[in-house]
Amino acid sequence: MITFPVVSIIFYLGGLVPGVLSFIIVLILSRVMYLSSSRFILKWYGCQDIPSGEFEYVYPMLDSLCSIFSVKKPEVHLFESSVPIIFTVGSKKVSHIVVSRRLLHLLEEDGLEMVFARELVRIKEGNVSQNTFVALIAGIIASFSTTALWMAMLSGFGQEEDPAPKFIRFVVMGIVMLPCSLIVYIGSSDSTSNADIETAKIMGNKSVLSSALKRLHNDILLNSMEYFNPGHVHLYAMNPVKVNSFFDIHLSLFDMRPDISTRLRTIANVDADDCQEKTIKKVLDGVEV
Amino acid sequence: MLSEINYFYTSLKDWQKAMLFSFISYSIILFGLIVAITFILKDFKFLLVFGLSFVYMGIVIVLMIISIKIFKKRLIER
Repeated sequence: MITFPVVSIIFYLGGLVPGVLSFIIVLILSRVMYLSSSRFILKWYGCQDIPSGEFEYVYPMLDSLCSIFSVKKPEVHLFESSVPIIFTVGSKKVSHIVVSRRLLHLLEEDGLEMVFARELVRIKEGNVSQNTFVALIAGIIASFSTTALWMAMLSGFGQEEDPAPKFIRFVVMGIVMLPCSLIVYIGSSDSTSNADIETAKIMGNKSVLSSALKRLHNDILLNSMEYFNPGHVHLYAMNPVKVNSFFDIHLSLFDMRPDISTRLRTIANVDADDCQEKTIKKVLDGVEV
Repeated sequence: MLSEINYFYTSLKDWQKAMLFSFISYSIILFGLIVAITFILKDFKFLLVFGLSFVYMGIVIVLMIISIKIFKKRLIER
């Protein structure tokens, strides 16, 4: 996206050789960014491995799910947040499921199994690397508004809750959120409904999936005041980005379809016969039925 | 007049309000560019400013029309 403007400017200013050189450098940098985008995002969220002795049921559950979905076992990372969040990043070789502590506390084992299964469906679809790269680029663009807020505060415009820094952030949000949302909508693959449907079909337990999604939605609606980068909105199983005040109105550009009621209706409409057919493959107590 | 403006504003959906404020933000950039050019040239060149405004606003409006079409398909409207 930035290759052509950068190369054209250098070509115009420096001539053919600097133009070709800059083209090669920008291509290499883009490739490196593409390959290491998942690492950047894991650092962004301050992810860590699940500490030994905590949430020990996650790994056996994931093993069993991986055998059901026939996908390579992803790495699981934990991050501290009061919002129930789960998403997947990664490249074609390795995937990482990132889960917040709140989600592990909120859902019971069967609900957790469903949301992890949903992430594995997304891995199986094969769009994780593309979505991760889009999240990195859109996330960087969206974070300019936070940078503007900090610049305003550090240059003496006031504190975080004062009107001047908020207004500066609002203006910068107006500039950056439009291209950021366009990158998210054009660049990412829209697989929310598909992931829900496939999970309901393969796991065969529609009511548990619906109940888990409802719990996530209600918890986010009632308790979430945390700011999440809107550039990552396409990664999340349930969108935590919401408009809390007038100054956040630009976040409404990330209120992606489908909404929770549509998702629940879609899950409810999954054919029962189809569910049973796929459930035959499910592994119960380590023995394939 | 004020009540009409108020009615217009309240009838907009959230994402439409966001687009409206985005348009204002982009206009602030244009204002800054015009001020900078006028200071650098130490003169107000009407044709230059008109041309710049025309091209800049043309690009912004075209991009916004494309965005509106995408948002209508992809956004939950509240």
